[in-house]
Amino acid sequence: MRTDIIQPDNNIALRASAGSGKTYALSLRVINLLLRGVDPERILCITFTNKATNEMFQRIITVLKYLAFELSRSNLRDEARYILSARRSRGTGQELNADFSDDEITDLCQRSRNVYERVIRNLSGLRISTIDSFFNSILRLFPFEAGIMPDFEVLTDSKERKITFDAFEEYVRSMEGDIRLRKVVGDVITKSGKAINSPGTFFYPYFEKLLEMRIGVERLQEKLKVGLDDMQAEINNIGDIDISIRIEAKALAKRLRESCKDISRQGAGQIRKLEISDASDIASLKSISKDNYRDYQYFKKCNEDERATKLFKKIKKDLPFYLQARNDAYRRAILFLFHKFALYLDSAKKRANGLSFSDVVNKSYQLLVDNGMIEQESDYFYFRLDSSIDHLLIDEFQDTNFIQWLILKPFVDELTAGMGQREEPGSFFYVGDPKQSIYRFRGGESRLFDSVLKYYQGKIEQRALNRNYRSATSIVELVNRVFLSVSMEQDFDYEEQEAVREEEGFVQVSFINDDDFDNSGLEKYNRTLGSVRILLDKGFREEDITILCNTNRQCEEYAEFLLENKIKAVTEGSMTILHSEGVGAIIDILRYLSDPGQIIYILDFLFAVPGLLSEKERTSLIAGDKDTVIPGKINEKIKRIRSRIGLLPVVAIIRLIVDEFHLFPRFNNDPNILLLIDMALSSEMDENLSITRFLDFVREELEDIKASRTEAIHAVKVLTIHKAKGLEFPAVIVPELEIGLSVSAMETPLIFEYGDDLSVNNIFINERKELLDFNPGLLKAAEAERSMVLRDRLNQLYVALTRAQECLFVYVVVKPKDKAGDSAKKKLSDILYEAIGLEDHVRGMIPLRAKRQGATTGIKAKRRMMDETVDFIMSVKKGPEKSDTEEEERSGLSYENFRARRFGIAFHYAMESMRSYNKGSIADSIRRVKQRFGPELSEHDISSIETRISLLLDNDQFMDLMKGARTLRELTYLEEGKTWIADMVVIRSDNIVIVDFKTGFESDLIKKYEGQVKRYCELAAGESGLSAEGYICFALDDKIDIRKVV
Amino acid sequence: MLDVKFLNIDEDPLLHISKCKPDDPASVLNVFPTIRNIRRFHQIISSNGAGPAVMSPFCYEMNRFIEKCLDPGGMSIVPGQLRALYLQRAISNMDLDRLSGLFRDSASDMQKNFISFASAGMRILRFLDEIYAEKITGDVLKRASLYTDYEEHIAILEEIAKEYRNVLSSDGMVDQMFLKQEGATDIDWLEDHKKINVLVGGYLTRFEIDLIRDIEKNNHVELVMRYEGEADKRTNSMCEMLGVDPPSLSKRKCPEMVEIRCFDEAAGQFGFILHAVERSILSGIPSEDIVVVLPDEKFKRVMFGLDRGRIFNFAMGLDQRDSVWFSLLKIIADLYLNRTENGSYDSGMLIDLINHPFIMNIPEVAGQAPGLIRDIKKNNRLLMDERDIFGMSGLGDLLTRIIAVFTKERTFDEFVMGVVSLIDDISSMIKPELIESLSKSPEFIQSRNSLLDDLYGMISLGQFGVNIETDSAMHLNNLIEQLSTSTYSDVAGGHISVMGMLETRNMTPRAVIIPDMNEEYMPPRSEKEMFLNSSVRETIGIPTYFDREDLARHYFYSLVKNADMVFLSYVDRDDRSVRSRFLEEILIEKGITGDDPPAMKERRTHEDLIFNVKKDVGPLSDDPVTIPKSATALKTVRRMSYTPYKLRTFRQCSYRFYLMHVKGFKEPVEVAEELEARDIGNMIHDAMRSVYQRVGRTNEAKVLHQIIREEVQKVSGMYDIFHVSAHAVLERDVLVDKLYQFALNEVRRFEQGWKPEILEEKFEVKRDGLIFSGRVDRIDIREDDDCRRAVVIDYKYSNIKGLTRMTYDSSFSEFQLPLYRMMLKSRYPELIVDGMGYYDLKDTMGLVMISERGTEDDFLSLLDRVTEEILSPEREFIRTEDRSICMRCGFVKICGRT
Repeated sequence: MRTDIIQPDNNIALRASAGSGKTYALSLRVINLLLRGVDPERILCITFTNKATNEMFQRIITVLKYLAFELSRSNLRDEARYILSARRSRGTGQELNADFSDDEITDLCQRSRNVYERVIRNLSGLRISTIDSFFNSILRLFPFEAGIMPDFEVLTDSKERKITFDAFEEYVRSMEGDIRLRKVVGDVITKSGKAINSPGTFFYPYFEKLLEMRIGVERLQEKLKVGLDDMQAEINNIGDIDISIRIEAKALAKRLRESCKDISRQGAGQIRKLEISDASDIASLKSISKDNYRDYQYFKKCNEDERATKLFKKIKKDLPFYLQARNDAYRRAILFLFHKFALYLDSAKKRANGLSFSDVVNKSYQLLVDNGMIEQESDYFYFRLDSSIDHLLIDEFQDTNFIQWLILKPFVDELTAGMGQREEPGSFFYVGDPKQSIYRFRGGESRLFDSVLKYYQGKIEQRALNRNYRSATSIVELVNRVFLSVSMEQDFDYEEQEAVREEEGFVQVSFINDDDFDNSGLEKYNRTLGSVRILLDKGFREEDITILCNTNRQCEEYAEFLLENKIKAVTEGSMTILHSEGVGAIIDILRYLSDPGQIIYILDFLFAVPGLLSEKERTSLIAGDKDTVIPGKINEKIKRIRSRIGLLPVVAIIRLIVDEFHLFPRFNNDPNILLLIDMALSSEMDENLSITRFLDFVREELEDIKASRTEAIHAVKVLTIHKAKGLEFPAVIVPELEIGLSVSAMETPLIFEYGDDLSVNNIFINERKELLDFNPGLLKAAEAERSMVLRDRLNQLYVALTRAQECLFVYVVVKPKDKAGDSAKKKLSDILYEAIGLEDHVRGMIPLRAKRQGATTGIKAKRRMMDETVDFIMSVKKGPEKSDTEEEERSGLSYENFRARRFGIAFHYAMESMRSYNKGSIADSIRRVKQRFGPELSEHDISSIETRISLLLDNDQFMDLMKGARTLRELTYLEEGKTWIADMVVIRSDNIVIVDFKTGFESDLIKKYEGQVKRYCELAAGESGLSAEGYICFALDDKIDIRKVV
Repeated sequence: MLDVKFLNIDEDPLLHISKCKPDDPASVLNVFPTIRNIRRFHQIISSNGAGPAVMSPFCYEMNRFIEKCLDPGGMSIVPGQLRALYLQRAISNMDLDRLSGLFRDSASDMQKNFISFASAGMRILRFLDEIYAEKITGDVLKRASLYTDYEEHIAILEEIAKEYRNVLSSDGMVDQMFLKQEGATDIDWLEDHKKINVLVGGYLTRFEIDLIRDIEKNNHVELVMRYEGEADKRTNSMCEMLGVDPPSLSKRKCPEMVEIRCFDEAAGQFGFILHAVERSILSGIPSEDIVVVLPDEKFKRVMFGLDRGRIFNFAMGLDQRDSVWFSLLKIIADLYLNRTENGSYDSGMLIDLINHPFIMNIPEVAGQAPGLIRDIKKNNRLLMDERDIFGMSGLGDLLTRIIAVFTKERTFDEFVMGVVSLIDDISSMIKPELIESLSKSPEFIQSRNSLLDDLYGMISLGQFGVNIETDSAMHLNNLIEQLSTSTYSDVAGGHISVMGMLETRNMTPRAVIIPDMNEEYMPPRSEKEMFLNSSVRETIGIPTYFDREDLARHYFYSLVKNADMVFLSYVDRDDRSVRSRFLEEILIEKGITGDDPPAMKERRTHEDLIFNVKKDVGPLSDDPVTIPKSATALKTVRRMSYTPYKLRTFRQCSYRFYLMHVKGFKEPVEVAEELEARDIGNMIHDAMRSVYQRVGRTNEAKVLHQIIREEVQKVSGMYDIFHVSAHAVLERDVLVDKLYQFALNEVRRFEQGWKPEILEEKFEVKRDGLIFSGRVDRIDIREDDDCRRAVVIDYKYSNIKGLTRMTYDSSFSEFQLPLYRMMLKSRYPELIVDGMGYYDLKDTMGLVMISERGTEDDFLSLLDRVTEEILSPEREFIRTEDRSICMRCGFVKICGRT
């Protein structure tokens, strides 16, 4: 790695091949910026996943920690060398220097320590974030400008699905009164020739794609605008053309029947199809693809027929016209309907106050680009953002989509504008590998890497990381061999990689001739099983081995085969929590508890829990002749749990279930059970007691929740190549490298045509391959699409071959007969075949690994048995910590009591607030009461308080009691942790008077009141050494009643 | 006179205050940041007292103290729960154009809709609260900002505040924040208190400092605060305002005993918490001196749910929305609010109501519930008509009572009283045993009392603000909304307190346990302000987000550095942020600068404390994959009659056949909320039968199509989905449109002489000791010159690819058509059966004839083989090898095929 990569003086586009230390370079660059004194808040480092964000944070902290606390001359790791070299060379881009002085090292250490402390102290100032959360945070700063509420929620996939579903329902409902629109919608579906009647199923795929590309589509919308009537006319029109073509075809068939005697079965079939097919099916007939009908091999023997030739030519002329018109009409109709639907969707989202991830991007685009905030009001923008962004770093740039780039572009424009434009010099750095761009279906745009470089020519320098730190030499050599060959034949940039690791590792590429392929399919599984066994024999652990498949389905098949052969295997599917048997069993019993009518759920539970039923019980439940009866003991437990349903939180019910049936040990301490409990932490779980809601929630969310730590599970991983991106594994097996390079027509329902600036120029409805030739516009777009897909596939091959660290097995199925044929049918296997030759390619030896020592899953050493645990819980003090006197005193729950209680409190507050006991103080006291209790008291209440105080002040007995040196109100006495609050304590020279106010007279409570007052007196006497008198003072609406207690 | 007493971070401020023993406690007034501080202060002085009883100085919580010092000039202070309401009223009064300057397109929505206003409203209030407490005026703000946009925003906010004040004052109220900004105070009441101790809980606003300045003119005030040394910017700036110099104090280290653990699942941390409690107790720390701090308060739910010994008490209170009473009200609200216009109820919500433990325990309802639920699920009822339910005695009566509360037009007060009496009503109906057992549960009593208090409180405040609407739905929403944020105190909890960070101010527990030490919670991620950015904050001297995070640091270290034992854990998952900076700091302090120590990385720990792990799993048994045919089973299979469907099941997987038809197990049924192909299939079958009952044959496709349209319409009325979903209706209509092609095809068939003669005919045929039965969709007959020809037809609304070629081999399972043909021949021997076919009613709308690979005899001999297999006592029921069949099977778990 050249040291100038991490110098902020250069804007860099870093092309980083797999395993070449991309994250390493990125984090060193950030660290170098910090060491240069750049304020963390002025750095923005964008990643694509939370995982990458966390890794980046952790990496920066770890390296800084090393530089600050562990750095020494004897322990000079590469990180330190790069930083030291960079500090010395200041952007000259030399390779690593060897020697550094003590001073340099001490200085770096000191500086790092300062930076570390600063960064740690203000970790949230360091802006490392996913692109989504960066845009999200901007929208939260400018919600109103972006037309949303400040507390909008980012929708989960399942929530978004539901909102979309509901919005579509609402959209359809809105059509009920609009016969014309409804007719258009009906016609679009019925005339499409698809076996679909459900409007949702028909339109969703189009709408989904359009939503993904919404910004681009909306720009186009104007161009393609059409009215409802025109649309109906267009649809009718294509219907008419369809009919006329059918008539022509029938006529042609008739002529052919007459002129072609003695015709073969294939020929007859074509004629029959001409009779019954609609126009688009006619277009895809083999015989129609020819220039003349007699060019079709099975019509060759037909007699010449002028009428037939004419009809044939007419059909050939009409078909392109029809297909283009149809594509046009459907495109317009779908865009028209989409536009309306999008309005419903927007308003549904507005009501839910939620945005999807792509909405966040789109809204950010509108805010920052369309409204020109960055360009026209950048000072204001940065002011609100709290600081300017001087250094922008983007990771995995090949995964950036076009709209995301458009949002970031103004920042980059500014950063690359050169000195003089900004207070502080800025920099831009992006790193990625177009070869690993396999997320095109999600909008990832690999072409951006180069087009950005081209756009900023002279401002951004390109660098490449071509040293592979990941894989053994034999693997790197294979990758070089294959892709150097690919790059000569295809439009594929590849630079030779240099292996850094010294060990040779092991590579085996085997070609299996398709003709020999055993149809039962067991052979291919056995082959893979064999490789797994070899690896295990060599000391690899199950979790070191990864099998990479093309599809999820394939993953399942391989995993199942391994399992049947007693080798533990997990797939992505089994990497969601849903696949945990423990979780499944709990869900089953919860289902049963919420609907005991469905016996099957409890049976599912009983059969899923290992060891719960005895062999005998199992057999008798299933094979027994008697009615199904759940064993008594189990039934008791279920009853016990059932009686708590709805009363205890679901979490407590789950714990009860787990404990009653010992599920935790029975499922081998499955951590996913804890993960299930974690779901209660979701803010969407707003009904904590309802099992039904919990189950609904679980049903919606479970498939999106990754299981707990699959990497810690000792099993062979079976992944798709897509999911393996960004990961590395000690040993990789690619069991069926058979990724077709042909582009399946129906892969995408719409085809977009892009301009040179990558913006959407046009949209077509995708058609079957046979129909493309009739529509030159579509054909051109489809070919462009095809070349991108081809590129995608090659990238996929690259990803598959670059995941392994030590061992790589690749099995390639070749079909020699295809080889010479249509290049569109080419498969990746052919490319490998061409690059390597038919001989099996084997290099190196499978390295021996030390065998694993002991299992690490589960509770390592059981620390104690359950009973002891219970003991310790018993030793914790129980019972209420405090006794809240106010709570205890509460009597009755009627509204009247409530009012009386509040009134009493207000009256006491009034008495407490009396500055002195004369009428002049009443007004002030009432003011205080109003201040605090105003809104909840009625006028009558307030005047009643006033009256009662007046009566008190007029009462001689009361005024006599008040005669003392001091009057203390609401005085607290403490006694052995108990708190007593006396309403009024009058301290005299020889004794103390205690008065307790009551605003209501309840004879049955008098004894209790007296007891209280007695207690106050005892406390006061004990505390002061004086004697104490105690009174209860009933301050009623019409009279004052003072009773002496002590 | 003002004294400022700086305490080192490891000094206990409450102990400090308790040590200054006044001669006359009643002359001293203490101001503490929390009630918990007062309680602890009382404990300290009571245990230090010489005699049995002690008189305490007066103690106030800071907020109450401030409230008492404010002078609203005869007005009432607006209660918290009404603030947002009044603010919205203020906004509604304002000029829309003006508001749009700040809220843009959202302005009108905010004026009209309280719900969408609420969150923005709270932000506005928070903003105003803060700048007014800091005595910042709009002018100061405008001067501090550089941008006209910004100035305009501030001006609009000021106008909103002004209008808010007007609206309040017309109801005789005022908001505290205005009084703070103006310094409208009344401190005469303090003259009796010679000494006032103010314990600072982290930060004082300008208003608070000014207030103290005022008070010290006549009273002796001692301000007590912990100080961390020079880096403590927050205290430095307070000192500057107070005009005092902070001393230099030494920093204290973290205790020796700090245990840090990492977990994969948040819930796993609970085991660690129990472990921490255990270790603390074993090392002699009493329960009261152990505190669990929750940076993420949601974790309370997990703790409460897993705490089997109830050893924790939740200082933040328990949530009303987690109470059984609230859940009942919520279910009722959902049920009522989702009623259709013509009075039908959502059946799922009705099931929720029936399943609620209170309702389930009303004897009159209990008996009806299972039947009703079964009926709903079996018949896929999405809606239940009012009449269907109200006719039932128990449940109907109950619903009538419930609905009565909502249907009358009432004021909010009357409405709330109605809800209260409904609660009473339901309580009186529940089985006394349940009520009795619940009454032993303190949470139950407490939540009920608190619920009633909340409701009564709403009535008391009802005269203000809320009483605008008379629509019961609005009332109900309002009520649920308010209750869902209410909490009640956890009086029944154990001695180990669980609290939020703020609540720990000035506390010095000996053992501190903190889970969720992740960056998003610790320090709490402070959202960037919409209205004030950091540079403005710095310019005008109010806390920035950095200061707020530093304050969290102060709370954290005050707690941790004073403890004897500290237990910290964090969660390491992709969806969480990195571990807390405080953890990193502690590691550095502990000299751990390289990799984490192995113990810290051990992720599976203490799960044995959460769950019962005593049980050893017995020997595992494999699930039986074959079942021998017992005598009883044999009897059953002999007796039953075989439909094509049953035969198919038997052929595909005889194990499944056994479970379904011999054992009689039913696959799970849940109500489907979307239109399912099965439903459309049934609907079409029903409709077609009626079509040909109405019309024999016609040569007018249009006429036939019209009849089909009418019949489909009529039949579909029986399916709830078409009443609920416009999408389903459109799908149906698209299908009906497509059926025009069917009509055309039919007319063509009629022209060829075919006529649908036999429709939906049931049959039963005995053969070799087995009874075969079924129902033929349709048989078309053509009268030819010499004979009558017949075609057996089955309607299909599914993919027929792969079905149209019949080979009577080992994989054959589609018995339908050949079985119908067999029946036809035995019943009408004179007919010549010309063929059989599927009518594709989904796609092509054409009749697709079956091509047979084999003869009818081949079929019959196959049928005989199947019969033999069914009846043979030796043949076991065997699980299929074809896993694709398992995909749609509801018994996969029982047979071990998950």
